[in-house]
Amino acid sequence: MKEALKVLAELVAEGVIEDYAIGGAMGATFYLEPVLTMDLDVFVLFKDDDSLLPLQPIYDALRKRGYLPDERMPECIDIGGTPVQFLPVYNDLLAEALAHAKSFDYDGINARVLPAEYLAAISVQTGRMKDKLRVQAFLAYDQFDKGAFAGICAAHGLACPVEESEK
Amino acid sequence: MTSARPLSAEQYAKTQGRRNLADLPFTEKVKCVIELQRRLQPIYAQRGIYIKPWKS
Repeated sequence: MKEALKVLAELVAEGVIEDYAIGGAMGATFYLEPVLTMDLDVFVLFKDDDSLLPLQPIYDALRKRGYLPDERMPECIDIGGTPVQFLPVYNDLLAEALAHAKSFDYDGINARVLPAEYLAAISVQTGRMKDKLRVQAFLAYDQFDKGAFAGICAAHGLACPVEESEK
Repeated sequence: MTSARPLSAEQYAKTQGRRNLADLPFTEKVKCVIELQRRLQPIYAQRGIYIKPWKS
Protein backbone atom coordinates (compact mmCIF):
# COMPACT_ATOMS: atom_id res chain seq x y z
CA MET A 1 0.00 0.00 0.00
CA LYS A 2 2.74 2.39 0.98
CA GLU A 3 4.71 1.66 -2.20
CA ALA A 4 1.57 2.16 -4.31
CA LEU A 5 0.93 5.58 -2.76
CA LYS A 6 4.58 6.54 -3.24
CA VAL A 7 4.44 5.58 -6.93
CA LEU A 8 1.16 7.52 -7.41
CA ALA A 9 2.80 10.65 -5.97
CA GLU A 10 5.75 10.13 -8.34
CA LEU A 11 3.43 9.83 -11.36
CA VAL A 12 1.92 13.21 -10.46
CA ALA A 13 5.35 14.78 -9.89
CA GLU A 14 6.56 13.47 -13.27
CA GLY A 15 3.45 14.81 -15.06
CA VAL A 16 2.25 11.38 -16.21
CA ILE A 17 -1.07 12.20 -14.54
CA GLU A 18 -2.42 15.56 -13.46
CA ASP A 19 -4.09 14.33 -10.28
CA TYR A 20 -5.48 11.20 -8.68
CA ALA A 21 -7.69 10.16 -5.79
CA ILE A 22 -8.49 6.87 -4.11
CA GLY A 23 -12.11 5.79 -4.47
CA GLY A 24 -14.09 2.57 -4.20
CA ALA A 25 -13.95 0.41 -1.09
CA MET A 26 -10.60 1.77 0.11
CA GLY A 27 -11.81 5.33 -0.33
CA ALA A 28 -14.85 4.47 1.80
CA THR A 29 -12.61 2.70 4.32
CA PHE A 30 -10.84 6.01 4.88
CA TYR A 31 -14.08 7.25 6.54
CA LEU A 32 -15.93 4.08 7.56
CA GLU A 33 -15.11 0.73 9.13
CA PRO A 34 -12.72 -1.43 7.07
CA VAL A 35 -14.32 -3.75 4.50
CA LEU A 36 -12.92 -6.55 2.40
CA THR A 37 -11.61 -5.48 -0.98
CA MET A 38 -9.17 -7.01 -3.41
CA ASP A 39 -7.87 -3.91 -5.19
CA LEU A 40 -7.14 -0.23 -4.78
CA ASP A 41 -9.35 1.86 -7.09
CA VAL A 42 -7.61 5.02 -8.22
CA PHE A 43 -9.36 7.67 -10.30
CA VAL A 44 -6.94 9.60 -12.46
CA LEU A 45 -7.10 12.91 -14.30
CA PHE A 46 -4.95 13.56 -17.35
CA LYS A 47 -3.68 16.78 -18.87
CA ASP A 48 -4.54 15.39 -22.31
CA ASP A 49 -7.95 13.76 -22.00
CA ASP A 50 -8.58 13.37 -25.74
CA SER A 51 -6.57 10.19 -26.06
CA LEU A 52 -8.34 6.99 -27.08
CA LEU A 53 -6.03 5.08 -24.73
CA PRO A 54 -5.88 7.40 -21.71
CA LEU A 55 -4.34 4.83 -19.36
CA GLN A 56 -1.48 3.89 -21.68
CA PRO A 57 0.98 6.53 -20.34
CA ILE A 58 0.45 5.16 -16.81
CA TYR A 59 1.04 1.57 -17.91
CA ASP A 60 4.16 2.62 -19.83
CA ALA A 61 5.55 4.53 -16.84
CA LEU A 62 4.84 1.64 -14.48
CA ARG A 63 6.31 -0.96 -16.85
CA LYS A 64 9.55 1.05 -16.92
CA ARG A 65 9.61 0.72 -13.13
CA GLY A 66 9.06 -3.02 -13.36
CA TYR A 67 5.38 -3.02 -12.30
CA LEU A 68 3.29 -5.41 -14.39
CA PRO A 69 -0.38 -6.47 -14.53
CA ASP A 70 -1.51 -8.60 -11.58
CA GLU A 71 -1.50 -12.32 -12.45
CA ARG A 72 -5.06 -12.96 -11.22
CA MET A 73 -6.55 -9.52 -11.85
CA PRO A 74 -5.05 -8.35 -15.17
CA GLU A 75 -7.09 -5.14 -15.04
CA CYS A 76 -4.88 -4.14 -12.08
CA ILE A 77 -1.19 -3.34 -11.87
CA ASP A 78 0.65 -5.00 -9.01
CA ILE A 79 2.53 -2.21 -7.23
CA GLY A 80 4.54 -3.60 -4.36
CA GLY A 81 1.99 -6.33 -3.62
CA THR A 82 -1.12 -4.14 -3.93
CA PRO A 83 -3.28 -4.56 -7.06
CA VAL A 84 -4.06 -1.03 -8.26
CA GLN A 85 -6.87 -0.42 -10.74
CA PHE A 86 -6.57 2.87 -12.60
CA LEU A 87 -9.86 4.39 -13.73
CA PRO A 88 -10.01 7.50 -15.93
CA VAL A 89 -12.41 10.24 -14.84
CA TYR A 90 -15.30 9.49 -17.16
CA ASN A 91 -18.07 11.89 -16.17
CA ASP A 92 -18.76 15.29 -14.58
CA LEU A 93 -19.46 13.84 -11.12
CA LEU A 94 -16.06 12.14 -10.99
CA ALA A 95 -14.30 15.26 -12.30
CA GLU A 96 -15.95 17.36 -9.58
CA ALA A 97 -15.16 14.73 -6.94
CA LEU A 98 -11.51 14.67 -7.94
CA ALA A 99 -11.36 18.48 -7.82
CA HIS A 100 -12.47 18.24 -4.16
CA ALA A 101 -10.14 15.34 -3.22
CA LYS A 102 -8.54 15.52 0.21
CA SER A 103 -4.88 15.00 1.00
CA PHE A 104 -3.82 12.90 3.97
CA ASP A 105 -0.67 11.52 5.41
CA TYR A 106 -0.13 7.77 5.16
CA ASP A 107 3.00 6.76 7.02
CA GLY A 108 4.89 9.83 5.80
CA ILE A 109 3.51 9.76 2.25
CA ASN A 110 0.98 12.28 0.95
CA ALA A 111 -2.06 10.51 -0.48
CA ARG A 112 -5.30 11.74 -2.04
CA VAL A 113 -8.78 10.40 -1.32
CA LEU A 114 -12.23 11.39 -2.60
CA PRO A 115 -14.48 13.19 -0.06
CA ALA A 116 -17.09 11.04 1.73
CA GLU A 117 -20.05 12.92 0.23
CA TYR A 118 -18.75 12.39 -3.31
CA LEU A 119 -17.96 8.72 -2.66
CA ALA A 120 -21.58 8.29 -1.55
CA ALA A 121 -22.89 10.15 -4.62
CA ILE A 122 -20.73 7.98 -6.91
CA SER A 123 -22.19 4.93 -5.14
CA VAL A 124 -25.72 6.23 -5.84
CA GLN A 125 -24.79 6.68 -9.49
CA THR A 126 -23.20 3.23 -9.78
CA GLY A 127 -26.18 1.65 -8.06
CA ARG A 128 -25.00 -1.94 -7.45
CA MET A 129 -26.15 -3.70 -4.28
CA LYS A 130 -22.80 -3.15 -2.56
CA ASP A 131 -22.99 0.53 -3.52
CA LYS A 132 -26.44 0.87 -1.94
CA LEU A 133 -25.10 -0.69 1.27
CA ARG A 134 -22.17 1.71 1.18
CA VAL A 135 -24.52 4.70 0.88
CA GLN A 136 -26.40 3.50 3.97
CA ALA A 137 -23.10 3.18 5.85
CA PHE A 138 -22.20 6.76 4.89
CA LEU A 139 -25.60 8.05 6.01
CA ALA A 140 -24.96 6.52 9.44
CA TYR A 141 -21.48 8.08 9.63
CA ASP A 142 -21.37 10.87 12.24
CA GLN A 143 -19.30 13.33 10.24
CA PHE A 144 -21.14 12.84 6.95
CA ASP A 145 -22.57 16.10 5.58
CA LYS A 146 -26.03 15.03 4.40
CA GLY A 147 -26.80 18.52 3.08
CA ALA A 148 -23.69 18.54 0.88
CA PHE A 149 -24.49 15.00 -0.29
CA ALA A 150 -28.07 16.02 -1.18
CA GLY A 151 -26.69 19.01 -3.08
CA ILE A 152 -24.28 16.85 -5.08
CA CYS A 153 -27.07 14.39 -5.91
CA ALA A 154 -29.38 17.21 -7.04
CA ALA A 155 -26.66 18.81 -9.19
CA HIS A 156 -26.04 15.53 -11.00
CA GLY A 157 -29.65 14.38 -11.34
CA LEU A 158 -29.35 11.52 -8.86
CA ALA A 159 -32.17 10.27 -6.63
CA CYS A 160 -31.02 11.30 -3.16
CA PRO A 161 -31.52 8.57 -0.53
CA VAL A 162 -31.45 11.20 2.27
CA GLU A 163 -34.78 12.63 1.13
CA GLU A 164 -36.15 9.11 0.69
CA SER A 165 -35.12 7.99 4.20
CA GLU A 166 -36.60 11.10 5.84
CA LYS A 167 -40.04 10.88 4.20
CA MET B 1 -45.70 8.25 14.81
CA THR B 2 -44.07 5.46 16.78
CA SER B 3 -41.04 6.21 18.90
CA ALA B 4 -37.79 4.37 18.22
CA ARG B 5 -37.00 1.49 20.56
CA PRO B 6 -33.81 1.94 22.59
CA LEU B 7 -30.88 -0.22 21.51
CA SER B 8 -30.29 -3.43 23.44
CA ALA B 9 -26.88 -3.89 25.08
CA GLU B 10 -25.82 -6.23 22.24
CA GLN B 11 -26.98 -3.82 19.53
CA TYR B 12 -25.26 -0.92 21.26
CA ALA B 13 -22.01 -2.89 21.57
CA LYS B 14 -22.13 -3.78 17.86
CA THR B 15 -22.84 -0.17 16.84
CA GLN B 16 -20.10 1.09 19.12
CA GLY B 17 -17.70 -1.54 17.74
CA ARG B 18 -18.36 -0.30 14.19
CA ARG B 19 -17.76 3.30 15.29
CA ASN B 20 -14.52 2.30 16.99
CA LEU B 21 -13.37 0.61 13.77
CA ALA B 22 -14.35 3.69 11.73
CA ASP B 23 -12.32 5.89 14.10
CA LEU B 24 -9.09 3.92 13.64
CA PRO B 25 -6.22 5.66 11.82
CA PHE B 26 -6.12 4.76 8.12
CA THR B 27 -2.87 2.81 8.53
CA GLU B 28 -4.62 0.58 11.09
CA LYS B 29 -7.64 0.19 8.80
CA VAL B 30 -5.36 -1.00 5.99
CA LYS B 31 -3.97 -3.63 8.41
CA CYS B 32 -7.59 -4.71 9.11
CA VAL B 33 -8.29 -5.04 5.37
CA ILE B 34 -5.16 -7.17 4.90
CA GLU B 35 -6.16 -9.33 7.90
CA LEU B 36 -9.63 -9.81 6.35
CA GLN B 37 -7.96 -10.88 3.09
CA ARG B 38 -5.72 -13.36 4.97
CA ARG B 39 -8.63 -14.87 6.92
CA LEU B 40 -10.91 -15.18 3.91
CA GLN B 41 -8.22 -16.52 1.56
CA PRO B 42 -8.76 -20.25 2.48
CA ILE B 43 -12.56 -19.88 2.40
CA TYR B 44 -12.53 -18.27 -1.04
CA ALA B 45 -9.93 -20.81 -2.25
CA GLN B 46 -12.41 -23.61 -1.52
CA ARG B 47 -14.80 -21.89 -3.94
CA GLY B 48 -12.06 -21.59 -6.54
CA ILE B 49 -11.63 -17.84 -6.00
CA TYR B 50 -8.06 -16.73 -5.48
CA ILE B 51 -7.31 -13.86 -3.12
CA LYS B 52 -3.81 -12.52 -2.75
CA PRO B 53 -3.44 -10.64 0.53
CA TRP B 54 -1.70 -7.31 0.06
CA LYS B 55 1.73 -6.56 1.39
CA SER B 56 1.44 -3.89 4.09
